Amino acid sequence: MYWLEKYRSKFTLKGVWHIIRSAWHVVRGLFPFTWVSIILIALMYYVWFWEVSEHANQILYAVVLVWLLAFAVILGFTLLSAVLVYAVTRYANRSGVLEEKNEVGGHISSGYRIFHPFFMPFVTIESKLLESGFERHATTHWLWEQEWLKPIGRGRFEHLHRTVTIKDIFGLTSITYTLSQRVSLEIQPAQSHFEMVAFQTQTSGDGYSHPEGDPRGELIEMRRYQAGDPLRLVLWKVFARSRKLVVRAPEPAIVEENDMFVYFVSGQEDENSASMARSFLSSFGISDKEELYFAADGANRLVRDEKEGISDIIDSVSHRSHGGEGLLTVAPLVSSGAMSHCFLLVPKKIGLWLEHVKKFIATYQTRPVFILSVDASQQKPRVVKPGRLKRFFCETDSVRDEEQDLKDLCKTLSAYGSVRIVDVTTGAATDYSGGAQ
Amino acid sequence: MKESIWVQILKIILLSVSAFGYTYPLIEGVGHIIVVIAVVIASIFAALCAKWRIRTLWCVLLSAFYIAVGLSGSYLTLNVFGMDTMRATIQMSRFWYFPGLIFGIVFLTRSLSLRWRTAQLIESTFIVGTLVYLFFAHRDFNLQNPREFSDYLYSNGYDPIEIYRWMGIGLAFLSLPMLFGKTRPGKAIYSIIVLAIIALLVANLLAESRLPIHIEDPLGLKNNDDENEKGDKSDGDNDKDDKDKDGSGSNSDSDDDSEQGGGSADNNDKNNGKGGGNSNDNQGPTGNESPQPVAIAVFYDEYEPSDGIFHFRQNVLSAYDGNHLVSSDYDSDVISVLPASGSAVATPLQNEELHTKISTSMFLIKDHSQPPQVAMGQKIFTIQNPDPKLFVSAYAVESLGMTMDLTRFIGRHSIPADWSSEKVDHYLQIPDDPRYKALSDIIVRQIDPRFIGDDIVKAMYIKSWLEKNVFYTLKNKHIDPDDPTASFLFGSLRGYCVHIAHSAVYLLRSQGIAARVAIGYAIDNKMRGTGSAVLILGNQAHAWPEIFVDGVGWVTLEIFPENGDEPPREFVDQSLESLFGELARDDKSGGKAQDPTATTLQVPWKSIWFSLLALVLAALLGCYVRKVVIIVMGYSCHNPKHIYRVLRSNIFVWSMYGHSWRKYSTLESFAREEAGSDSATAKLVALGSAAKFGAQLNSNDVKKALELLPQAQKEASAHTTIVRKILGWLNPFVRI
Repeated sequence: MYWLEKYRSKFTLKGVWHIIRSAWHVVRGLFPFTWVSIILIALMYYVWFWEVSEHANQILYAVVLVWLLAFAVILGFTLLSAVLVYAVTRYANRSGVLEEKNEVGGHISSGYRIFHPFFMPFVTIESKLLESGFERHATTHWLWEQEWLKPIGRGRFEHLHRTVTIKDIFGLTSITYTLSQRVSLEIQPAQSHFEMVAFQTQTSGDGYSHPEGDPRGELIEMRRYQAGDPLRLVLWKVFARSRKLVVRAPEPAIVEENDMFVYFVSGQEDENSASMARSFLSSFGISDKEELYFAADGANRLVRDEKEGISDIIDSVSHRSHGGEGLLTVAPLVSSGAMSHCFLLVPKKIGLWLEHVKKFIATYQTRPVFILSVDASQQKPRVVKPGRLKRFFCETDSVRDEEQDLKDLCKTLSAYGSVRIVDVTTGAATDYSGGAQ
Repeated sequence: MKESIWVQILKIILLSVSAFGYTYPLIEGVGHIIVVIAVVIASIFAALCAKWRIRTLWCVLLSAFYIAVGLSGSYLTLNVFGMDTMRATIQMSRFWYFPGLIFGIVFLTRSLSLRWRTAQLIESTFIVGTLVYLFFAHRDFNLQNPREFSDYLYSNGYDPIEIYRWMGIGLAFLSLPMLFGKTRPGKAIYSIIVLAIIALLVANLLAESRLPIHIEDPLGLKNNDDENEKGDKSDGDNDKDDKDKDGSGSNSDSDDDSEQGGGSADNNDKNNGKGGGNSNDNQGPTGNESPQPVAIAVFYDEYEPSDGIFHFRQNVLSAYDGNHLVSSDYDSDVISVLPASGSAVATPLQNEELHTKISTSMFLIKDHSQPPQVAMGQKIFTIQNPDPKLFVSAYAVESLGMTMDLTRFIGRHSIPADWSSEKVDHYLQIPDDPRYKALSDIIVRQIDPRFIGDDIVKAMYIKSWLEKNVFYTLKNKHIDPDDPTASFLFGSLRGYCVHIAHSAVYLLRSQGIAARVAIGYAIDNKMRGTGSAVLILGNQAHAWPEIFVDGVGWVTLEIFPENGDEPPREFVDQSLESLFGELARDDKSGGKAQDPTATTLQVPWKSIWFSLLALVLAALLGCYVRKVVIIVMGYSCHNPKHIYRVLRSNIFVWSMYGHSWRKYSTLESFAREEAGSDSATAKLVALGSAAKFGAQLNSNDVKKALELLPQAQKEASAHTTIVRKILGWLNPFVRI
């Protein structure tokens, strides 16, 4: 009955299908014959009964016997290696739980060793980590393969699963199984370079220089003189040289807004955004300022301190498929003043989260600032699409044009609020202004 | 699927050799070079296409184009260029047809296998196919083919079977690396060595083994070993078993009931029954391929059968069980089982005065559960098999052969007076069908009044009637579940030996003549060579009637239908007959060498295995010597320049005991973690590092190192369990 209770929730059509698929993967992994060997056996069967036995072909008689014996020996070595690797690896890693807190881009020495019986003829061993949140770097020394991991995504891990494939060099046999390691890993988002300007709003939203008052910031650009510009900003040397009135415009006057609501929307490719969220929490010290509200997807609460916030950001990984859903739950807890200064840290890739965000905007009639975090150092060069002729004759990969995708996302988001692109490596923020990026 | 560059080079070499083999009989001279160049270019081109990721479809179309160019060469030569001379065609074949064809095939296989691993099997098959194609003619035990090759081998003391098997082993060995993918050379070489040992093992296993041949019975004549072992205990009661074996009975080992035919032409007719004996169905009278030899008989006495036919009888069917004719205990004059050892003797029924004694040796190329014996076999005893790779078994037969014509026995009765009524009933049983008696009465009604009532004359008339009225054909099977013989005899009269023999027996029995069906092989004396060896082919299986003549014994009554649609039989290949005859006489050269007692070359298997073992032992010994040398060299260091030897000796001992420094990033961290920062090992490592980084060391340092070495090794020993230490010393492959 306990068993029934335990698995009751899995007895849905989807659950059963999942179980069948999992079972199939296990069985397929342990089934040692490949297509090559199945065809080879069929071929040998045909040759034996139609040529050797019927027509006494002495050459093929020897060929089939060598193949059969070789196949049997190869299969034997593969099975033996599979058992050996499984047993020895399990034994070698029997004790200890890897406990570590790290962050994206860090270095984790997992201490997990996979046995590599190099002395086995025909057999090669490949292993890979099933968890997608890590880059795995393995080196083989003598009988052991050792690894270190580079986290590429935040999350909490209780187990790390590695698939080990034992196969022969002829491609006749292959056995795959999974080995798991008990761990207690907490991978936080990477600490990004943070500039306050990313979370500041303009006092005047036009982007023009302020004709009066004391402008803040540096004078950043030159433009033609316009009526109303203070004469002290005119560059007279330029005028003397070119007879044109040019002013050096100050950057838009801005004001720090401490009354704000920042929400982290999880989704695909949200790691940079998570990194920005973490930096925001670290920089603003949210516990001191009650007028600052921060929440992350999945938690359905406003965070009270930085630790709690980072924890929520980590846990939001499991809510990527329904990112933004928590906005409507958290929004009633936020003051109306903060709601008018709403910052949404959104993923780089459009997903279902956008629908939830739209619903939030429609409900609260707010115009949020979308913070799009990118890593300029990781930005791929612009993709050159292969020509039609090349595509006709050659196989080409469907390479994603990240730059174009980002532009499309900015364009989409700009319809619902202002968009700010922040580089997590430098902290530089740029407001999106409709295709001029 | 990507392949390492060295794998690709290996494959190009193998494919080139293979292509050379395929075209060897077709072109000559410069053509071979062009073909090899075509293979190389096709392989490189395929590799480039894979690199440029040209779509598979285009590769297939491109190769189809090349193949089409190759194939259309003949047409273009004759019709477009108007070069209709043989010389022009030969020239074009060198430069166009075969290179084009080979280019297309190699390009296709290489392109596919560079994409899908499964397609590499095509390449393997291509390689294997080379020698199979070149020596295709040797199949079906046609060991005289290819003649030039066969003659060379035999006359030089080689056994062609052994050579063909070595070829097969070599091919398999070469074809498996064609399945290599992206493999490290070290692993590949190691695996190839193991493969080579496997190949040697197979070669050794095959040295005396005989190729297992599956035999089907085209006549549908049941050969049940159990039946033979039992003798003929099933006196007609065992319907189920007998249904399958009522035919004229073949000698094959086939266990496929559905293939049984012959005999009483009952259920055998649903099969492709043809006569007696056994042979493969594709080589029988209807087969397109050349018939396979099944046995060779060597005669030691002059014997010329009276009717010109050598009958090799295997069994007889005489008991009518209500449905079929089956063998029975009454036929104890027939030896239907080959004794495992010793001899088997038949119950003497034949009058020796009226027969000639014949001594023969039989050598079975295909296994027969019922041993063929020429004429009336009286005694069988096993003899030494001269070539176990070729012959399944060998036995000598003492037979009695009839040399007199049947007409000489006119006036004799068929059934002796001393036969019991049960025996008489046994040999006179026929189906419960009045038509047999009615027909035989009509036939014998025509007998000259002077001979009315004479059994021999009646038999001759029935034989004559059948010869005139039967149409011999293999096309009519008479698939009649009740009585196929009636279907034949009272129907179209179109059938084959099985139907004819059974019809004759029923007609003869209806006239009170003891008769039975004999099964085996029949060889026309006119269609064979002149030597004393008679080669029996699979398509010579036959069934014929025998009658009993009082005072004479059983006499063969061969029926020769005057009409038929079967093509005349071909002459037996005399060179093959002669070759098998000589091999059966234990002349290993098949009569090709001057000295018939010369023995063939033997592979020194014992020496090979001993050499391999010695090689492995020497390698192991070398590994142990290396261990000792590394350790000892540490103690024999006197030069500051060689101080690293001391360190190496120490690290080696640590590694041997299972403490590899490779688990650590540096030697220093290894020494610190494993032995402690104040240990002798750590000090030695520090000295070694100093030497490595160019510190000027003097003899005092060497002395100090030599003092530290025993201490450091004691440290290693102290950190290791006794079991691990023993294992460490036993391990020959310690790595520093």
